[in-house]
Amino acid sequence: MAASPLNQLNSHISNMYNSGLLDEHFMEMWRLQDGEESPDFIAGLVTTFLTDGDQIFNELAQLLERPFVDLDALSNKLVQLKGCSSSVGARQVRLACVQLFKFVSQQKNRDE
Amino acid sequence: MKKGWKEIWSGHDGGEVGLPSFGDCERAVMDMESFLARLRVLAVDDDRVCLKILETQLRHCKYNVTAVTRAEAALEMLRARKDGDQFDLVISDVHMPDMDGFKLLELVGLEMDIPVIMLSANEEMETMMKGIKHGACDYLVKPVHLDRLKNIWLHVVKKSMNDPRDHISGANDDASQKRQSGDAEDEKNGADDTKKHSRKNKKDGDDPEEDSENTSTQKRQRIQWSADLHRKFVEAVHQIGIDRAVPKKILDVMGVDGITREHVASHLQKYRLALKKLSLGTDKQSNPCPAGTESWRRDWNYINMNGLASSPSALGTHRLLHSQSVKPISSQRSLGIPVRDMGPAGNGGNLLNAVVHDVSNVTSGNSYGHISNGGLPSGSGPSGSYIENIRNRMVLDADRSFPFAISGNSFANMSNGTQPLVPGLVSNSLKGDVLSMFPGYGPSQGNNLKINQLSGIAASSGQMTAIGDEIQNRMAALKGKSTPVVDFSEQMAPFNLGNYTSVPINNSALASAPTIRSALPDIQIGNLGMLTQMLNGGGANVNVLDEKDGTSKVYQHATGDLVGTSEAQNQMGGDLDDFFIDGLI
Repeated sequence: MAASPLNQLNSHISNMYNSGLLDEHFMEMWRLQDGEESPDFIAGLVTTFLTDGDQIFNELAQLLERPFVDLDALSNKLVQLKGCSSSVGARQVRLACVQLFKFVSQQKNRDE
Repeated sequence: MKKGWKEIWSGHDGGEVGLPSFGDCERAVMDMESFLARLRVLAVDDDRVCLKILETQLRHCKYNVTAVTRAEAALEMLRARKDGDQFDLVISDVHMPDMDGFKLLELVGLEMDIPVIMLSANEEMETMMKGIKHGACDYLVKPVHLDRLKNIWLHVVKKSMNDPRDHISGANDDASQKRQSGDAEDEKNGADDTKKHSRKNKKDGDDPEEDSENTSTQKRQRIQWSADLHRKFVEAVHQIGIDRAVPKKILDVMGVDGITREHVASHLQKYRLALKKLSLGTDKQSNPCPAGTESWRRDWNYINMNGLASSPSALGTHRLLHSQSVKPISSQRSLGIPVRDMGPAGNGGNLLNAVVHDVSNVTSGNSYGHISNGGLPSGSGPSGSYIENIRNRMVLDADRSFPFAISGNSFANMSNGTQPLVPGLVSNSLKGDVLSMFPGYGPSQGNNLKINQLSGIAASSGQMTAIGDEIQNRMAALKGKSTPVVDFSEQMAPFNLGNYTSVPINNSALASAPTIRSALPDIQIGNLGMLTQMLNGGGANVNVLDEKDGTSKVYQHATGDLVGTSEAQNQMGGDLDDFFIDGLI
């Protein structure tokens, strides 16, 4: 008996919750969709997040690869990523950003 | 034409500011919705995801939203609507590529005076405070909850209440005008000012009247500090002594009906803040009270223009004249009114620019120009001065020529140059210094002398060390002792490596970065480990969408990656990719 796609989706999402990949803001988005938005709302949003997020990752990697790292640019990128990931509910990404941001701030303070 | 929200708002209580009557619940709900629907909100965020979410949330709250990704576009839209149908509120991100959010904030505040809410994932205290200092009426941290957005309309209402140009309480203006004409003291103000009077002033006696008319929801009566009132206030403060002035005493000395201790207290606070701002003077573009800035500025202008705010004091400053006929105050009295920002450039910016600009003039052998009081950018708006201003900020403003009048002074006769001097803003004690500085224009030797004395005065004041340093640098530069600094911002360069803070992160340091990543799983690994075991053991419930071989395999793949290898983040993103893009919806 194959689980219906909807069931699969639901359990997948709850798994993600349980593993800490998602947080409650993901639900916030769902609530918005239930309101009046088209069903494409969440799909579009997540796709956009993944695309933009991927791009930011690449930029972050590039920044980190340099011999002299531009800490300010790095911070800005991190804030941006933190913003969109937290709005979507991508918890792990957000936490990673927070950690790296703290590290970068410490580096900056060390310099000053 | 469509009714703006303000008409709707005021329509409820026949022109009074107050909440709509909620007696009729149904009507209230409908009113709220129609009220909100007319509130135009402009959302600005360069991040597509955040902007979309914000826009959707605002629509959900029934606001009339316009969303843009670029700050420039936002400014264009705002400017285009200055004549009508203007936005009521702006919500803007802080970190944007094309324009700094703070800059947008300031521009909006100055040009359109609309409330601005800042938005950012950055929750550092300094950033948040910076937002408020630059005039934001609120700072929201991403991710923004719907609840936070529901009540942003309050900011709009608050702002419109503080703005005296809004004739929301228009009914009282006529009454107040009648009372005004009867007041003997008003005759001092001069013919040109009646317009301002009627627009801005409420006679003290009106206030109790207004209280009864206002609904009980408005507890605190907003008081307009008329020129008269402010003059009395300042007199009282100086009489008591600025250090010992407490609202109660001030109230007693003023002896005016209709204002409470609270009114005096808040006014005193503003007054003190303004004084402090002036004596520091390094704030380039700050406006401490954004909500009431316009009215405050106008108040100051108005007061200063008419010399009403003079008060007895040993300091012999004086405010300069305008073409209007105003009684000159004797040089023994200082105004006690600090100069307010009269233009967008702000005190600090003007001064520094003026200093640098004019020092460079000296080298080219131009005439020295005139000393003007710090913070007087426009000829049309004369203002008072503080003696500290002079000491601290000997601003040379080559463009100005101010006539001045100090009773009993023959300063005007002094200048042999093309333009009159205006050290009239100077106390008797300083007069000597100034006089000696300007024996005449011309020889560069004399200029050097002036420069020395100028910098001496500037430096000795001790307060404006920044400007003093700048001047001294320039002096030294002029004398060829050190490399000249072109402008102030460049001088700041050593302290702040421009925007580029560089740190050599070598491999060892970089190696620590993965520790962050591997630290991540430390947070999560407990759960994941357990979960993985559960899933593996049970084997039944892992109904993850499968596009590969097996459900559980896919899921484990994800957790495996989370457990501390390199590229964890990218992998994570990639895996999410797998989960979502292929056939999820």
